[in-house]
Order: sequence, then structure tokens, then C-alpha cells
Amino acid sequence: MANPAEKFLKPEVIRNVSRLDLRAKFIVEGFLSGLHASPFHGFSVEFSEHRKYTPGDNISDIDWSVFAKTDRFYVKRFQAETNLTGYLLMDLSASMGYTYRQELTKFEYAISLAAALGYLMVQQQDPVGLIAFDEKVRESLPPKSRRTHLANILSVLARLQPTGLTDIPASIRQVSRMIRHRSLVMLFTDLLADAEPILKAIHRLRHSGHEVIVFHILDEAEADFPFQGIVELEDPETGEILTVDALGARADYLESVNAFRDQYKRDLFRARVDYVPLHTGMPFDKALMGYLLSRQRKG
Amino acid sequence: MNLSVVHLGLLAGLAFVAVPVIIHMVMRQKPKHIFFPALRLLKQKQRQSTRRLRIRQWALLASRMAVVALMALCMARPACNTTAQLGESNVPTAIALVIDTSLSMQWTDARNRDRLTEAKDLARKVVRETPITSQIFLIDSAEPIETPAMSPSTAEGRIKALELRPANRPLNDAIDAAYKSVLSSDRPRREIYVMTDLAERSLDLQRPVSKPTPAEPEKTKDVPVQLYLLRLNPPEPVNAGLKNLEFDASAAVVGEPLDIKLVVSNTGPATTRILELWLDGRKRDQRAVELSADSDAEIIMRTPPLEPGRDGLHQGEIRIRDEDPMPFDNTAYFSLVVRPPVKVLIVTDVEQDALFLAEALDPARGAGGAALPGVSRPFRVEILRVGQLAERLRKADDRPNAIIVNNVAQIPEPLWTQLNLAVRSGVGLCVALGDRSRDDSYNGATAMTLLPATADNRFEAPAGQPLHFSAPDVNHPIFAQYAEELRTELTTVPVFRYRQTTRSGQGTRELLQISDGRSALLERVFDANVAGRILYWTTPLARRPSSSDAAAWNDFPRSWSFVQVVNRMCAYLADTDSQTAMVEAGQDYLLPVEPDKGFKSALVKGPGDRPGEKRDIAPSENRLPILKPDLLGHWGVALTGAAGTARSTGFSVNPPATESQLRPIVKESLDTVFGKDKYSLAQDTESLEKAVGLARVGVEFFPWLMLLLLVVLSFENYLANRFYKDDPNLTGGSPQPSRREVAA
Repeated sequence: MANPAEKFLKPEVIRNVSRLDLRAKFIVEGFLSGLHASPFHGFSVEFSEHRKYTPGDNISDIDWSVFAKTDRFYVKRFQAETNLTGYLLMDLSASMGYTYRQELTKFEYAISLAAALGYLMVQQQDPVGLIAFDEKVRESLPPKSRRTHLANILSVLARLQPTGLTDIPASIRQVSRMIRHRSLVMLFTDLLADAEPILKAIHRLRHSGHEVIVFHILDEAEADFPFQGIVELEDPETGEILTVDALGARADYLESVNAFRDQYKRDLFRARVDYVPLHTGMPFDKALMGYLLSRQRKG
Repeated sequence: MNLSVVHLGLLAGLAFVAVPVIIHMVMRQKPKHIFFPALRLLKQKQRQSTRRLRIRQWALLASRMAVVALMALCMARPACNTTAQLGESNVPTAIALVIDTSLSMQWTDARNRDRLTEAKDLARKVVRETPITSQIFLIDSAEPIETPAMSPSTAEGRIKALELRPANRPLNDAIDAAYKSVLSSDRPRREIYVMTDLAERSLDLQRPVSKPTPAEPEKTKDVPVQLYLLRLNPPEPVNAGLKNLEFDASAAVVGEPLDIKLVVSNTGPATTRILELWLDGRKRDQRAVELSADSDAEIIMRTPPLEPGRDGLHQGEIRIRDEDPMPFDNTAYFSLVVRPPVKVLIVTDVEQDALFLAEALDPARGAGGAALPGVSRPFRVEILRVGQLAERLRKADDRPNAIIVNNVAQIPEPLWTQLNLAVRSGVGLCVALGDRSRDDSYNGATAMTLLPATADNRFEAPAGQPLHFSAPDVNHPIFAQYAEELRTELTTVPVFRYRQTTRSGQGTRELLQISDGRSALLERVFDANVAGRILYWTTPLARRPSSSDAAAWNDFPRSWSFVQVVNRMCAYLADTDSQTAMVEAGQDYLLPVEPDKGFKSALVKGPGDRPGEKRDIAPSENRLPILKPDLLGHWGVALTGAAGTARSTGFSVNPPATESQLRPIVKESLDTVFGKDKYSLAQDTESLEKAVGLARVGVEFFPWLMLLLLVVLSFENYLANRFYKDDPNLTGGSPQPSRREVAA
């Protein structure tokens, strides 16, 4: 990452930034600076070119910095001219509060990513809303595209805490009922529940005409199972305890994780739902790229 | 196979195998507690993982128990095959030392040390290293008897005094005696050491040797006895030796040379040796003999014409001139008594029946008595008719040595009486029946006092299908010299007719058969009062040109075996074998004594400085037994009678021919004699110590246990590392999150 801004794509760096708005800004700027130097240059979502101001254009679109340099009026010409309403769906289950390495928890990773996406969408003048759920929807903000709305979203995100049990399928069904217009629903969850009901709920959401991106976030330890020796594992949600020989169980576990991910990937692909497997050690750009690809399809 | 340990108490250490179990139960290591939300993914494979975990935990526990057990076993130093108490060197021991003193132990190595010296040094070493409370049984292989126990210091002196003994015995007897000796001891450990070259003759391979079984085995505790065989045979023996000396003539005759036949045995590479003939203290001849590698060569050396000498006795030696590592067999001794030529009377009715006999016995007779070049004349033949025999027997000063009555029709009764008297005075008689022999003449009362059988029917083989001789008694002097050759040759001799016989009484012996199983040659054996010998042929010692001739009973005279058999027969009848006075060391010698000379006593003196032994002679005794002479060389015997009669005679003692055989007994043969794994074989001090250590201490498991301990320890370490490997992420700084932290 040659550009200094790109360092903020790393979770271990961004965790040192306490303010969520700054986190969002740094992640997006790092991501965009990476994109400018990348083959995905055409994805520039800020603007693609300037054109001369013509009467009837919105005065707020005039680029005053260009006017200051050239003494002529130019307006920004955005590549994505259509608006897409986005919803950030945050899973508040206790398992989302887990971290093994004592860096970003899954939830912190999720809200950082959500904040960045929110920031990005607002920058594109796309309305973005927020829904947080555990066993049911706990918090919600309607989608708006104003910059002041981003502050609200970030404020709510910073306030959210992963609590106890969760019911993802019920919550998704509830969300499905809540959203009236075709929207882009971005689900941030670890999916640590029975897969079938979740998949059904997502399918329903999809059938309601929404575009869905599932950001499947696991802790790095959940993805790699780095333990050794005899370990006593406890599920923080259920309190269930299992004693295993870590080395012996690792292969089995990774097999289970892969099967778990493959199942979601396969089923969601059939439903034309984007599935982005993540873990808390991964840079944020992968998640953002997933969003942009989806956004491009809609544009 | 027995199993022993240094101390039984050390095995109590095995109880410590419980320690890992206790530690495992009491101080069970608490596994690291980790929150893990994705537990549901792991639960799917929980069963297999738990089973694997248990297996590994059991493996770890078992390996730790094995480590403790192996350490305890290592300290106990288990060993198998031990037969004595703990293998300690200071255990009082009953030791039987069997020293092979046979002549083959004379073999001297490059350091000028013979095998017996080596054996004695090793025996002394064994004795010195045993505690003074031990009992030593020293057994000379020449005297295989149970010996009284002696202290080690006494035994050392006795060992030093041991010498080579030409008259020796197979070691089987000595080892049997050794077993009995050590079993009679109350010492806790019993060992037999056999110091020998294990040359082929040293053991009777047909006779197994083992520890004697107690009379009441169920009441007697089995006492182990360890047998050590120390093989001292030369690694690459080189030796030339003389053996099987014999005279190549039927009699040593005054004025005639005598051929001496012997075998030169060469062990080692091909070589040339000089043989010397010494007679009466003077060298008479010498010749070079080329010997192939590891082979025997038959040599004939000829004496000059023998002079009458004093009492006819001559003593001499064949010597190998150059020294070699085993001197005892470089000299072969011989003694002989020369006599006037043997007088043989051939009595026939027709000249033709005497022809072949006379030619076979005295070929020069046909040349008018002139000496033939290279042919000695041990026999002087007279051919007589029956009518002339009575007159001839009356000549007391010209008594014949043997009479052959061949195919004579009738012998008058008075002549039988004369023949009877002659036989009793030492004249040999041979009767051969033929076509002319009349039954009544040979079956009469006087005849039957001499003859071994009655003459019965004539038997005639079908024309063109002759019978043959068969089954000669090859141990008899007549057939012994060329036993194998005669056994083959006689079966080819055609026999057309013979006289069936019925054995008449005791003392008869069949020496040759017809191929149909009937007797061809019989011998009548008399008691000691009758000096003469009787032979009885059922077919004549003559032939006719045509087999259809009624007098043609066999073709025996056409065979070379006829000459050999007739010569040996006449020598036997004339008792000339007493002239060849030689015997192997350790075998009894029967010295001929003429009863009519009235000898009362004999002074028997061996070679060297040993004083002579005086022996009384019974009046009727015609043989004086000299029991097991044990000194090699010439022995002298002075016979004296009451009337001042005296005669000097003697005999020679040679080493047993087998003593020159240095080829060692192979392991398989030893297994046959002693039983597999029933003895320990050693070649030198080092291997003896190893064998003794192996037998006393057994096969130590210590090195293998240590190796196993190392392996198990490594395995345990590997398992432990796998299970309890520190997590660098945890030990690196960040503490384990508490439930509260995770929940928060």
C-alpha cells in the first residue's frame, strides 16, 4: 500500500482511530486512493468529469474550486446519476462482540465497515438507513442522503453494543416488512445460527425486490482456529463448553467452516445475493469492493 | 530359559508406574479456557475429536507409565538364561576341569606353546579367578573317573603336573565323570570347563553326553550345570604324520628283506618330506616323499635282509626327518621277530591240486628255489601224498608250521591222530574238501575232534549259473588287510560245486560264505591249551581248466584274491602275526609265550626311565597280556624260566592313528553330542570370559531397555508437546479474555 491513506484499510490500524466518523472517512479515502491507482479507475464514484455550467443546472453542483482556478463555472458530472437506497443491517448478537486477539471485535469490524459504506453512499448522495437487530429490530434510522444524516448513522453505530441472543431470520423478516422500496440491504453478521432459516429469510428479502449483500464476518480465530494443546472452548451465547485437542480438531473445524461458508456462498449465489466472507484480520477494501460491484450492477 | 534380576527388591520400583496415574488424576492439568462463538461448527466433529483426544491422553499416560516401568526395569538389570546366582564372581563354585591330554594337544604354535600348555594356563586362570571356597575337580581325559574335590591352590599344582597321555579316551567319559563330580558338590554354582582341541577323535560322536538324571527326579531339585567347551585347535594346522604301519608280507623271514607299509598323512599345503628307516638303532634307508595338500600317501620302505639276531627280535622306526608342530607322529615304531621261513606241507592226491597253492605261496619254488628279484620267500612249500605225511610228521626237528590237506580222498585214522597232536603243538591245519574227499574219512571221531563241521552232500550249481563267494569276515586276519578289495573281488569268484556241511560243535566260526548262504570257510577255535589253528574249506583250493570237469569245483585260483587269501591263511595258520609286535597306545597287547619253554615270569619295561614291571606267567598261558601300554616307543620283555631258560622279546607302541587328525569337530556334531544350547563354545580367553559372562549373567536386557526407554521418552515428549504447547499469542502479552470482557 504505497499511499499512506491505504494503511487505514488495515483493521489493526483503524482500531487505533477511536472516532467512528474518522474511521469511516479514513477507510473510504484509503479505499478510493487505492482504486485510483488500480484497474478499477472507472469506479470513481465521486465524479468522472466536469462540464460547463448551463442554465437549469443545480447551483450546488458548481465546482467552486475549479471556478476559483479558472474563473469559469463548471459542474461535477457524476458517473452514477441514479440514487440507490441502502440499508445497513447490524447483527447485535453477543457472538459479534468476540475477539481472540484483543484487536477489533467482529462487531467493531462490522460497524467500521458499515460506517465506511454509509460514508461512501452519502458521498454519492445515495440515501442510507440503519437497522440494528438481535432477536428483533432494536434500532433503525430511515434512509436519507444528507450529510447530516451520516452523523446520525455514525452516532447510532457508535452507540450499538452486541448483547445476548439473536434471531437473525426473524429480524430479517421484520426488516423485509419494514422496507417498502427496492433497496440495497447490506447485512453485517457472523451468521452463527442455523443456516436454513437465515437463508430462507434472505431469500424472502430478495424476493421482495431488494438487492442484498451479506458481509459474513468471523473473528480471525474463528476463521483460522489458531489454538494449540488441550483447550476448553465456551460458546459465549449459549455457555456451552467443549474440551478438545486443538491441533487434532483444527482440520475438522476448518473443514466445517469451509463447508459452512460454501453452503452460504452456493445458496446465496443462486438467489443472486452477494456473499462476502470476511474475518477481522482482513483489510476493509474487500468488503467495499463487494459493495461497489453490487452498486455498479444497479447503476 | 530363566529370567533373573540384580535384586528382586529393585523390581518393586515397578509400583511407581502408578505415579503418572495418580498425577494424572490428582494434578490433572486444567485446559485453557477460551471463548469461542463458533463452537457450533466444532460440535459437528466433536465425537471424532473427543475420541482422538482420549486416545492421545491414554497414549500419553501409557507412555509415562512405560517410562517409569522401564526405568525400574533398567535398574533391576534383568537378564535371561542365567543359571547361577546373580553372576557374581565370588560365588563359591564347583568347577570340574576336564583337560584333554591326548597327543593331538601336542600341536605347537609359532610362539612355541603347545595346546596342552595353553589348556593348563587357561585352567589355572579359571582356578585363580574362583573364590577359595570353591571346589575343583580335575579330570584328565586319559583317566575319566570321578575325582575328589580339591582346593583351588591344590588344583593349580595338579594342573601344572598334567602331561600328554598317549593312551587316551574320548572326552565323553571325562565329561560324564565331570557331571557326576560337580553334582556331588554342595556349592551353589556348578561349572564344567573342557579344555580341548576338539580334534575329530576327541569325542565319540555316536555317544551323547548330558547331565545325569537323578534317581528320583521328582524329589530332587534340578541343579543347573554349565558346560563350557574351550576349543584350542590350531587355526591353520600344518603337520605331517605317520600312521597305519604294517608289514607287507605274511612273515618276517630270516635272510629276506621286509617291506614296511605305512601312510604319511599331510595336513596343510603340499610339501616334500624325508623319511628315514631305522632298524636296530641304525639308519638303513631314506627317501623323499612328495605330499599333496591335505592328503594321505601310502609309502612302502624295504628293510635289508633280516638277520637272525638275538632271539630274532628287531626293533626299528620310520622317522620324518624334519621337525613340525606335532612331533609325536613323526616316528612310527615297529618290532618284529624273524623266523625261519614258514614250512607249509601241501597234501594232495594229485599234483594238479597242489599246483596253484604252491605257486601262490612260494613262486620261487617253481624256479628251483632261486630267489626272484623283488620277491621274498616267507614260505617254503613241500608237496606230499597222504602216505608220505605220516612219516613227515614224525620228524620232530623239522616240524612244519602249517599243513594244507587239499581234496584228499581218505585220511587214515592214525593220521588224524598225528594231525591232532601236531595241531595241539601249534601246527596250523587247513582241510579243503573236493571231488575226491570221502565223507567217512572226514566225519570220523578223531577227525571231528579237529574239524569244525561234518561233510554232507555235494552241491552242484546249475550249468552256466555258478555261485560265488560272499560275506567274508573282514575283521579276520585273513581278510582284514585288503578288506574292501576282497569283499568285492570274492563275489566275482565262480563256485560250481561245494560240499554242504553241518557245524559239529562249539568254537566254530564262519569266515566266508557261498552266495547261497552256505559256508565256504569255517574255523575251529580251541581253548588256550591248543596252540594250533584249524581252517575248513568246503570247496578245494584248486581248479581245473574246464568247468565241466567233475573235479572243477571253482575258479578261485584264477583270481588275485586267491594269492592274498592263501598267503594270509598260511601266515595265520603258522601264527606269524605274533611276529609283528606292534600295538596302538592304550590297547592291550598279547605277548606270545611258548608254553613248552616253561617261562615263569616276564620283566616288562617300557621306553624311558620308568622301571620295569615283573609279571608271572601261568604254565598253560600262551599269551601274556600287557594292559594298555601308554608310552610310545619300543618295549622290551625278558622272559625267564625256572630251568634257566630265557628269551628276550619286545613290542612297539605307536600313537593312535586318529591323533594325527587335526580337523575340528563341527558345531552340528557338538550339538548332536551335547544337545543344542546345552553348552557354551569358546575359542580363547576372551570368548571364554564372554561365554562365562553370558551363562552366569545371561543376556542382559539393559541396553535394549535403555533404547526402549529413550524411544518411549521421546514419544512421551512429543505427545506432551503436542498437547500442552504454549500458545505464543497468549503468552506473548494479551491475557485470556474473561467472560465479562467477551460479553462486554
